[in-house]
Amino acid sequence: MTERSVSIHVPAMTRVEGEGSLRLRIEDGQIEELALDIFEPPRYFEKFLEGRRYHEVIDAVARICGICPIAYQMSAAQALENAFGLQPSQWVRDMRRVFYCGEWLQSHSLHIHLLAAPDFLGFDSVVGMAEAHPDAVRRGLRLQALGNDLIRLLGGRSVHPVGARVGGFYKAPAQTEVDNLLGQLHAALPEAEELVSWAAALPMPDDQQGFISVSLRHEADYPLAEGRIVSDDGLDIAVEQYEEYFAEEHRAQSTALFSSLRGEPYLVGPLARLNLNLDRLPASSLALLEKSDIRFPNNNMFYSLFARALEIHIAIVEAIRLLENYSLPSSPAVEFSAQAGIGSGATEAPRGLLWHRYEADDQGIIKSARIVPPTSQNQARIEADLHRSLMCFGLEQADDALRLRAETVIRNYDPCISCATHFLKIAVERQ
Amino acid sequence: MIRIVGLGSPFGDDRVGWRVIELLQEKLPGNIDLVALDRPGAALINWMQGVSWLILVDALSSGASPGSVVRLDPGDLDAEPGRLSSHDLALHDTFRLANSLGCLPARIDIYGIELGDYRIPEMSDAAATAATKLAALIGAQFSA
Repeated sequence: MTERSVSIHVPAMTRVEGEGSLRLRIEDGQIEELALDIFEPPRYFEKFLEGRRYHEVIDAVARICGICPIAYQMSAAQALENAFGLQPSQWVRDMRRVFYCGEWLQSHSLHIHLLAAPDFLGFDSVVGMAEAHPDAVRRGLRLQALGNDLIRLLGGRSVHPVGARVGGFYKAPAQTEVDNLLGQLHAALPEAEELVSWAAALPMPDDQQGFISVSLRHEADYPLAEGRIVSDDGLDIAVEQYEEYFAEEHRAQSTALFSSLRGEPYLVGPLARLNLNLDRLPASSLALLEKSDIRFPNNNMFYSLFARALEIHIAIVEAIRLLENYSLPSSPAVEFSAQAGIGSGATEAPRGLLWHRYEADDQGIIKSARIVPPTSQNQARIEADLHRSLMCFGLEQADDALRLRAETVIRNYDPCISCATHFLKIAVERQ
Repeated sequence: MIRIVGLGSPFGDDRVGWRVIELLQEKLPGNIDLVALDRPGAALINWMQGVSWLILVDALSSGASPGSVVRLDPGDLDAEPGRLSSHDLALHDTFRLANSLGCLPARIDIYGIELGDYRIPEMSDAAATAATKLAALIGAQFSA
């Protein structure tokens, strides 16, 4: 190979949440250095929570992310309930699932249409894509709005909702509000079916690779707000055993932590969830999956977009199922008193497994907190994927093509750098 | 259709766009649609369908004295490219996307009210007074 030295620098990676960059050094046709540098300031949320009353945690952690506040609230509520030895009612568990469906709907719709799809249709942003594919973009915006409406039903508002509490919800929605939402959900179901077919037809690179998938697994349903932690290499543990198997480490270039499972990178998120829970799909979602040409389990990271589209369908089907059986509860929350204890909680945020642990004293004051967001769990996997994907793509490709491929690979993970405190300038050095 | 949208959040002076909508509800004819939205991002486009004239009211932080009211056109907004992310689809990008989708209202007026001290949970006097003044100014455009 002819020796050349090239360096490009892009001001900031777009279409991801947060600030970061990618350093890529190529020598003699080999990647000598590849590192995600993450330079959002650390956010110290775990420290902010120390000394706070347990009920403040639910509102505080919602501020970690504007896109997935419910995930943070649900993992925190579950962890604190475990610390207090509290068992939420079936009504609460069902409504948490509905609440979570709203978040998947709005987050996945935004990611597919605003952030990811332009990569596969050859546009640099949704603005150009909207001219050629206006119906798809409009559909995405409608599904996103439906997600927000569903969040508002139980959360009071769609941004940083305030309806959730330890033990349940502050208020049960009226039957008329539920009926109104059910009408909207039924109307959206054909749109979700079209979205799944549309996503299945997008041109995707063929890139099978080996990785470990990790997700929650629920006894009967597709995982959302509860379950055991499982992997496709045999892990099957209770939520409180997380720290025995998963480790986090600092690396100099990043303010986010890198996670590993028994020392190996792993994947969390929609593709991992789908790979591990094919037998937990609602029948109509499974029928849609089988109608497509895409086979699962699937190790092509580019099918993450398809997995998100199918999860939009799952979210609508599940919300309909649960709301059709809705009845007003005697109380929307379990009464309890705080007690000293340690509890952990894990739920499936749109971007993957979100694990929390809290220690509280007998007054319910937080002594320590630990929050492991999905993006930090995926960070080591993203680096491993980039290494492999760029080699496979061909390092002799032009810098702009390399950059676009790197960005596309990263966007498969829908990284929320702000959550993980953490996104993308790219500097390529060739020698 | 004419639609007036107050943008805001429940926090202090950021509520001022909602306050203007509340005040207009008492004085405008029924054929003008009034909406208060909580940080809608791209979802604002769903509120542009079939709208010929859109008036947006939002809080603003420009360094001017608290309670100052400015009128802006979409063309005045920061057009810095590359901030298109799901966390912050800027208003400028939202208009560009609406334009691509063919649903950009023919006329858009944007009114900004300068924020007071953002650390105060209640709305500041300066913002409350400005809301009353702006509601009167907008209302006057629709009185016979």
